[in-house]
Amino acid sequence: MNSSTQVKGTAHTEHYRLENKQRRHTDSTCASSAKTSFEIFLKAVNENLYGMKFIVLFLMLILVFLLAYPLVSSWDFFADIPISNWLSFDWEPEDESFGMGIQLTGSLLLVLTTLPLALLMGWIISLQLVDNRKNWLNPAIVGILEVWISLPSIIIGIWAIIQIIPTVRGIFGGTGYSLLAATIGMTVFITPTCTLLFYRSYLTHLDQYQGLENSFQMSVLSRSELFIKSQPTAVIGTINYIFCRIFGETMVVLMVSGNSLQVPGNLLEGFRTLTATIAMEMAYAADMHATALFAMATVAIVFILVVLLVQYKRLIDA
Amino acid sequence: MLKIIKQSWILWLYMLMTASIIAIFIKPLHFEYTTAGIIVGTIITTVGAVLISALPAYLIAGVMAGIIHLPKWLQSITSVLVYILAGMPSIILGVIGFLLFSNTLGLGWSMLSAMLTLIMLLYPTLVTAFSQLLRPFNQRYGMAAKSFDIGPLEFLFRLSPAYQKSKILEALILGWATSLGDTAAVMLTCGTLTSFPESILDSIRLLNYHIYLLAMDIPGGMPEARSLSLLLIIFLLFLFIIPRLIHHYLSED
Repeated sequence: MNSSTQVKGTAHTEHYRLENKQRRHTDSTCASSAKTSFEIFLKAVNENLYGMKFIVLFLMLILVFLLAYPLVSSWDFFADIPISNWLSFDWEPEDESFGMGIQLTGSLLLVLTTLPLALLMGWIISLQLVDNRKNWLNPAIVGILEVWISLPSIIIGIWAIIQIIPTVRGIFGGTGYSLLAATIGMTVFITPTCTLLFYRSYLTHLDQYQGLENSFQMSVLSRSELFIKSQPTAVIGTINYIFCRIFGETMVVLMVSGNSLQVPGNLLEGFRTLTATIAMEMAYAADMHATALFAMATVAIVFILVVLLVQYKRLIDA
Repeated sequence: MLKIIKQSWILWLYMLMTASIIAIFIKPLHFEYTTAGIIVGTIITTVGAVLISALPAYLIAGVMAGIIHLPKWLQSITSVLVYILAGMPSIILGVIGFLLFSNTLGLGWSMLSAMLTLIMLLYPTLVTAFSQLLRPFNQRYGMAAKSFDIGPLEFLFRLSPAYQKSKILEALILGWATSLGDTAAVMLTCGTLTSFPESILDSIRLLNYHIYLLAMDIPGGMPEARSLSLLLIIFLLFLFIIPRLIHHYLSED
């Protein structure tokens, strides 16, 4: 402290006086030392971050623009075609009838069958992982789950074509390309994601309530109820995220579902989802047909936004 | 032994299921349609996308981890947008890329437009991975850095890379694996040419889309699709094991 003031007193008297004035003015007590202009600039950037605000805002605007772009390019479709047309159940783009009913029901049925299975399996495996978190097997399993998450979905599709479809065909008859096969494939695909999300949030829960776990065993609440009560955002957020993953999964469904244009009556019939339709028909679509596919993408975006932002207020608080 | 299996029987069952799924792919390798252009193009596109998206994702992760302080409304917008983008289906991102980069900007079916599409896909993954490694680092060294007059930007770009190289590498590798694993986002933006790419505006066929075409469209392509996916599984396993091995040599503590 002493040495630094001496240096200042000799070299930058004027500067020092000014600084002293400022110091008295702002009433700050922290020590300051002589600085080069670059250091002052760096400090100004670091402290105030004027640029930072605009950079982040710019990035966010780009993302919002990207998400809104399908709506911009399918504006003609929503302006020209009446609602009764595009909410009906006939999809014949050549005859100007663009009903999205079949595809939407297909997607939602897939979610309805897969979501409970995936959540159940993920929950059970994550509880086992938490119980055995000191076990040597645990890191190996977590590593395998991470590989599963980033595995291409087409590999699971190929596995389903080789293994599941002949099995379903052998047991139940029919072609094998059905809602049941898609459900099995999607459950295998989604379970690792679900497991790891539950496992990680359970670990933070354990951090918060360390040592209380045993004492809560005497209470009326079960372990899972306690977890859900303590971390509602994690649980609901996981369910929403899994919903979107199943709703938006394309490749497995494209390979396994059979893509027949119908609402499936039972588990053994083929069906078609929204995303599979976009993936299949984008290659040869033209004019209004292509615009209808963009409109389909818009509908999917809106659907997912609604599902994700159900707990908007909780997200902001957390 | 029986006791161990009894304690964690579901985990053993899961291991068994994984092994049985991988065992399906183990057959004699068979290559006919795969060219060097596919592999080189795939590597260039995915690595380029990861490297381009790493910088903005790192900045946003700094915002999410509480290192860079912004007004509250902006902070909530960033976290909500990451959450939304993480839930977006990859085919929707593919449609956006097809509309904006291929059609409106006129990049056509090229490596560049596939790269730009992959950035959108990678952004939430990388942000969550980076913020997971930055948050404990900030809790540990944040106050000390403040007392040394080190601002957030210096903290992010000088201190953090110096202290946790291996973790950042791990996050980048996770991003690379994610970009290798996704098909729907790129099937609409990079074409289907199998020749060797000569510039960044050339059309290529990415490996995962190649596997899809072999399995579904090309007659008699199934054995090759199977052997390619086996190689991809082994490669991804290595990708996830190697950083854990390097961690020992690069680690800071």
